[in-house]
Amino acid sequence: MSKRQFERSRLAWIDLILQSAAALKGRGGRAALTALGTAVGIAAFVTTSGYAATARAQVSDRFDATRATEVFVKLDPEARTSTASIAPHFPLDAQHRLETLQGVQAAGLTWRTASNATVSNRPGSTQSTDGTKTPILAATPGALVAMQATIIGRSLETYYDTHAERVALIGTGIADQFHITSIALHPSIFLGTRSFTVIGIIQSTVRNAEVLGAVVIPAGTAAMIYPGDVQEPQATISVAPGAAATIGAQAAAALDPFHPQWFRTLVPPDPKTLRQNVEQDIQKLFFGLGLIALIMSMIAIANSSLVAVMERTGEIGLRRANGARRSHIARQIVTESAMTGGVGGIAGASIGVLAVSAIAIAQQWTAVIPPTLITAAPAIGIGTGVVAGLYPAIRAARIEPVEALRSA
Amino acid sequence: MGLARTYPSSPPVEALQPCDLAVHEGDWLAITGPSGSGKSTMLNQLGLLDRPSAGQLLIDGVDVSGFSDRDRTDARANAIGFVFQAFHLITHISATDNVEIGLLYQRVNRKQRRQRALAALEAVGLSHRCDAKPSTMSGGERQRVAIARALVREPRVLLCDEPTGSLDSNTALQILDLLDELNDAGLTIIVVTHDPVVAQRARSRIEIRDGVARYV
Repeated sequence: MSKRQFERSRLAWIDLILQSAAALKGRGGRAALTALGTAVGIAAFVTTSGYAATARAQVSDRFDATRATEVFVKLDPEARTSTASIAPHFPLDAQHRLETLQGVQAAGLTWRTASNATVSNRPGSTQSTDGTKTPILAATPGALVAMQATIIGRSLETYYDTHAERVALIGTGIADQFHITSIALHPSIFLGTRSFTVIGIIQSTVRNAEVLGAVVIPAGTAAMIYPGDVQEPQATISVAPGAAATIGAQAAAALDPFHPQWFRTLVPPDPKTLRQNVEQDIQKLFFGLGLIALIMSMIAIANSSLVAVMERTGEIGLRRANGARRSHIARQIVTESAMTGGVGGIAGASIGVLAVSAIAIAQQWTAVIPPTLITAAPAIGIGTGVVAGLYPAIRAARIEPVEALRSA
Repeated sequence: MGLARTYPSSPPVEALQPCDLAVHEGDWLAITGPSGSGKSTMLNQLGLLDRPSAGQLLIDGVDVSGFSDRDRTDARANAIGFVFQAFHLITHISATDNVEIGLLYQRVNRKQRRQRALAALEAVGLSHRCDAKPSTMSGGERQRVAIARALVREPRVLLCDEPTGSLDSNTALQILDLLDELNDAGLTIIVVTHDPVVAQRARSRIEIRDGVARYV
């Protein structure tokens, strides 16, 4: 008594796929509509993720290139009171220390000085023309570079600093006030009783706009003439794009490794992070909608498969009579719904790519779509189909050939 | 061997009383009887579609009555070709593809499968309709495709359930002629029918009444 006398039935993979494809083709429009549901879900998913990736890759229109490349360091007013022995101060070689940091393009120190001196065009004048005190700033050579100051004449070059020359730059506002239109005649201005030769007029700056209404003298000169008169010292650093956060974190330690707590660093908020936070919320929303669409499409596939199984009772019975096992029937039904889901996934990925491209074109962005997203989409579709096909497959496998064959 | 089938209910339905019957190679047996007589139960037993409650069913001396569903599926696929009243063709695929379903679950490669399907279609006189879809075919043509599908597996027995039930009498005669031819070529045929015209074409007849089968 050998059961093995009867050859085992089997179903080759290629036949499984061809049979499933033929069955779907037979269902035509209905299968296409079912796949469309999945396509919508996947499209929502791809569009959301693709849009987020695209937006993240763009230089934001709110991105302020100037602000994103500047870092200011000031003394922490709280450190001043808590430290007993030494008052917090910038080191003498602050500029050099900052310049050694990777990513720093220019750096320099400025402070207000000559508190008691009045700016005038006559020696010893105590009253300025309009009654307000013109600020006098000391600046290291790098400071004006870091400010990206446009200067007519010469800047405060290292020579003036190291030799403590009595030269000055005047802001365009001061130049107007004293009717200085040219530096060709080496005009002088007086800080209190001391005369300084004007070597340049600051026309404009990208940052530290206060210098336009101030007199700027070399740091070395200020240290010589007004020793100890250091108010509101501040380091201005111009950094490479994207380096602001890093420099911000390193500046204090670079300035004084023993007293980094003396310094307070002002780093501009990164507009990218800001944008990402906003987008993540929207992304979650759309992701949720995509998920709901996907679940709905899963139900749609399950429903359509179940209806198809009921309609094909005769066919399934016939297959069983021809040697198909229950598992063969189940596999075919799952394959059919997996294919429906897969086709929906591919269509959805295409729609999603088109949508992301359309958005990118409309915004004049470069579309960025992660390749993994494109490959994941059909896989998600197939997964949806497989899950959706499980129950119809179980129902189909339960069909007895007897009942099927007597049905018309 | 006393093959019997009782359906569990209260009281149990004795759909088929114990009966002994032998089908030999090359037979053409008709099983007749009115509706509800137990014809279908007999068909299910002979087609290995159902398990007997008592007795034995031997195919080539192998007792298949205790087989599991899976083993019965294998035995069924190997030994029996089915022809149904409702044809059960898949309407949107070609005649050849339909015939290939008969071999789909066998260990036959695709090329051989196609060749055998074409040969089976030729055997039923449909070689000119290989690529036609069942939806464009007449009833007689459809039943021929169904017979080809049953034959392609080279079964030991062709089991026909009301093979002419959906056909007009002229077409029915043609199908019966075809069965005659096949039987002459050595094929064993069992036909379940309530149509006396069909039954008369058979070489031997069994009539079932109230679950009791007897030779006529």
